[in-house]
Amino acid sequence: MQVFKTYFKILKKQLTSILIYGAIFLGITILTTSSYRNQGNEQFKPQKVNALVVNEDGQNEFVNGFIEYLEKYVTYVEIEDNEEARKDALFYRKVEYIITIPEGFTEAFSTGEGTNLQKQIIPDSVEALAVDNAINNYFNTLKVYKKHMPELGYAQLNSYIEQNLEKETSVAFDVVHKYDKAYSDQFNKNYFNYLGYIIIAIFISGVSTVMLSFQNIDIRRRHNSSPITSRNMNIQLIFANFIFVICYLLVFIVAGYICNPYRRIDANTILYWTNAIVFALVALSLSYLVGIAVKSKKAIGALSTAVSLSLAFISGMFVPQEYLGESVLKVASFTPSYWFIKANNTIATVTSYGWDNISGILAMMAIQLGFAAALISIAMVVSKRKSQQAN
Amino acid sequence: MIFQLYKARLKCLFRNKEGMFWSYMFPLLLATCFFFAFNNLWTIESFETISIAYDNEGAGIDPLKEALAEAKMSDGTPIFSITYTGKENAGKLLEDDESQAYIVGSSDPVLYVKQNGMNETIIKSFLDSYRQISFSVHTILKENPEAINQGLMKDVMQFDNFIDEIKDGKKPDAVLIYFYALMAYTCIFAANWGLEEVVNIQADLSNRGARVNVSPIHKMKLFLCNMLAAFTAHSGSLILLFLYMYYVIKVDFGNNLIYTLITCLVGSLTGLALGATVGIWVKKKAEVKEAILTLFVLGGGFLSGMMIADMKYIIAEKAPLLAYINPVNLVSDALYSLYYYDTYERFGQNILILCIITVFLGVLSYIGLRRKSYASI
Repeated sequence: MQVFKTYFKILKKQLTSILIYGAIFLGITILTTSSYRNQGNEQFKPQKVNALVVNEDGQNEFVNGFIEYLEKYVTYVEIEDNEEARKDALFYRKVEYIITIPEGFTEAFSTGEGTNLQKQIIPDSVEALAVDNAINNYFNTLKVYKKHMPELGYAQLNSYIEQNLEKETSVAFDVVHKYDKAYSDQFNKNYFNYLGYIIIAIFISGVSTVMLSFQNIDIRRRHNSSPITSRNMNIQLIFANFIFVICYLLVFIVAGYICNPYRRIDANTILYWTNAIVFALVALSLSYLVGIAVKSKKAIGALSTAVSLSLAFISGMFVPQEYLGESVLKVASFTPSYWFIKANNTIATVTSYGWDNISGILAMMAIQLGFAAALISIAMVVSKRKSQQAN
Repeated sequence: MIFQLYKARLKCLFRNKEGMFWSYMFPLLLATCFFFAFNNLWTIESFETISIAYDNEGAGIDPLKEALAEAKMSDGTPIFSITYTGKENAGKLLEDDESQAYIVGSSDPVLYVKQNGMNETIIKSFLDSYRQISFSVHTILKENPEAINQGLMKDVMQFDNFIDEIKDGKKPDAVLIYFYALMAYTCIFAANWGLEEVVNIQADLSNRGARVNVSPIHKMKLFLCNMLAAFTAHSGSLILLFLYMYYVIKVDFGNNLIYTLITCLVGSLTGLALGATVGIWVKKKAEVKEAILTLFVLGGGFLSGMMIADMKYIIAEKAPLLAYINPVNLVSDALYSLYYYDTYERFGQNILILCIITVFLGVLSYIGLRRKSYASI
């Protein structure tokens, strides 16, 4: 078991970076988890838009009534009172709708002149549409009331409009979800998608570095002259690699289970776990190949960052696949990580477990295993050539 | 002679594969990743016609049906595409994601939805306004029955627009923050090159430094030569990244490209000075110095929105001082203000602070570097 022990001795030196990756990952997971909790979906809540009113017309009943009315549709945010702060806030979407009530608007509305409110929005945003509708609705109603009941003051008009507002449409939920299950799947999907990045980054920097140490030509020569057969040594190395993968995944599977506020073990959860194990095997083969093919430790650092980041970006680990362009996804489908993510996304939607539903997911896992086999074959060829070199 | 030294140093730098990877290749790779990942992120937001199903329960005259069919965006896109069907079938459509909601009943419509969301809100606010209008008509007729003859129905149907959109300057596009922060990160990454130059010239830091100290050349002259070479080599990476972003990925840098370029070069100088200062004044192991620089460069990148664009805004709001002393943020903010603002006030302010920092760090490293000699080492 010397080789086995040595493997973990060398791996220990990588422990800091492995722990840092793991800790940051778990930290971010816990942070984002809190946002899952309060999204009760059982009751209809209108989506409110962050808005800001710049009132250049001064306080009066008319303007105040309007601002009060709009609060039903928007959330007012506090922004510093200058043009630059407002523009910045719009850029970063802290406010999505800036309404300016121009000077003399009240006067112009009373006399029916055509002065309009001014809005600044993020072009083409859907959110703005709902606000537009609410504002126009208010003034149109006001206009009709004013024309046909001209004796009313603004205070009375507003009370009419308030009565109007009570006439809300009743909204009912039709499709009844099993919410706990849906949330649990949602959490697992995000968790395991992001875990894919961590698996690649850590495996390449951890496993590759260890494998690299075994590949040093002098060390290999020493091994060749030792009484351990090369078959024995390889078996020990493979065994050590497996132990590392299993332990590592176990930690994150347990952590993921604990972090999940809707934790449950069902068929979907088991599928997520299987998929993660399959992907870990792919990452292991990749790291094995890198460890054999690369010459220096610094190169491994560069490769680990470059490969993990680019795979994560194009296959939808950071940004969900549905937001990626078609051509990007086409390219990504030549990488195993794409199939890992796709399998996770599909698992999240599965609610019944017939062969039709499961076969697609199993096919995606099979594709990943195919990648693993291909990577291992390449690694074998490289390793063969290297051993010829050493003799 | 000076040119020879400069040339030799330049060759040296270009042969350092690791340095070349992190300064030349890595930013390009990251820019490509950003492009792939964020390209479609915000376009998905633009309005798409909402598909709904409608069961009017066989009502003969149905003003709601007309109102739904005629509702249009300001640019003429219809708001709803409607399937007229029975309630049961409508429920099935909703379940299969063929429609996003369905409405039952014409005089007292009820909205059925599957989830909370923006489109659901839009449908509801449309129905609300429809109901409110019919309520207004009732109220007015109650108080003033003559109104019906004074064109009330026509007035109700006349739906005026009371809002104008002001479009001034550039479009707010939060994705740009990622690219500007990446550019700024690459500028300040020059710190690692500055550190390398100091290690190379200080007798107590490297063997080559010891050798250089006994050579018959003025130390400052050689140092400036080397720094110039580092600046040249690093500017190459900036120009490459800029060309790639501008021509291949088509990142919008605003209208004044000369100023953009000046920002990048000043940023590179700041980075070099930062690296030199840390190299000279931090008397610790090489790893510690590198860790400190990583903290400045990568941490600075994080605080200026390279990983999460909102970070830059949060810092500017909650800890403005940090925004003013973080060189990565100063560079990215200069790029941002060149793009977004018509005036150069904020850009000038950023560049001025960057220059002050650079001069300050330059003087600091000069003081640390001069007149160091060793009897034995």
